[in-house]
Amino acid sequence: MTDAHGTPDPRVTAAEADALTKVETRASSASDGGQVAQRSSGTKKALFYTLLVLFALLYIFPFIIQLVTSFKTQTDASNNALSLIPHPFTTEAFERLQDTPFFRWFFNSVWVALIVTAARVFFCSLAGYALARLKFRGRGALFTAILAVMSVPGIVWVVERVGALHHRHRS
Amino acid sequence: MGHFIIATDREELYTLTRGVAGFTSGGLGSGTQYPIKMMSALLMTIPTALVFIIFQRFFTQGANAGADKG
Repeated sequence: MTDAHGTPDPRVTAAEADALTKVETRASSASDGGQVAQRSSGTKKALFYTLLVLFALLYIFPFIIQLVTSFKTQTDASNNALSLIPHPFTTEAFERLQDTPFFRWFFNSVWVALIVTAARVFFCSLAGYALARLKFRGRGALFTAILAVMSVPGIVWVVERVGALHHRHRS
Repeated sequence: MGHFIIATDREELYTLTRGVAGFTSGGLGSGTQYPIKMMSALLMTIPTALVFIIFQRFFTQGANAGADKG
């Protein structure tokens, strides 16, 4: 906090100095403070963990509902959507899922993810190298064009996409 | 890219998300099939979650490396 000449560093603001003093005070009171401080920190800890558990439950609740709902019947799922016990318990959903090409869809998804990721890494590193390191005519214009396309938010294309799908399904 | 994938009529070309979306909007008969939708969503989450849990260390490291550069 001091420079070579022993003068206080001007970058240490009053607030920082205040915080430092507080930390030192707290450290000294902890060393000679004893059990009162310890007990209050224990209560604080318990309260903290109770809150953590509550919020963890809150966040995991939708997933539990999902798990339970997948073993309900269709009528049970729509009548008692929030009940935590499937009544009657059934694996009907799993059996009906096997009538659909679910695993075909699964491998389609994996295939798309792999190809898209590999192609992006490959082509983007090529393009990035060219734009960063190579000098060629029109480099600035090309970079600006790429940035311009990237800066258009995806939602803007929704109307055109719907139009394209609609056109495709009509023909 | 996304709208090329959902633009197909052929069921064998669907990806998981397109297939599960079909359960939501009256695929397999009528109405929303909550149990089968939840079951398929659950099954398709498992591999993704596994990959994330296994490589979690590297994901957070990567995020920090990016953040350090500022």
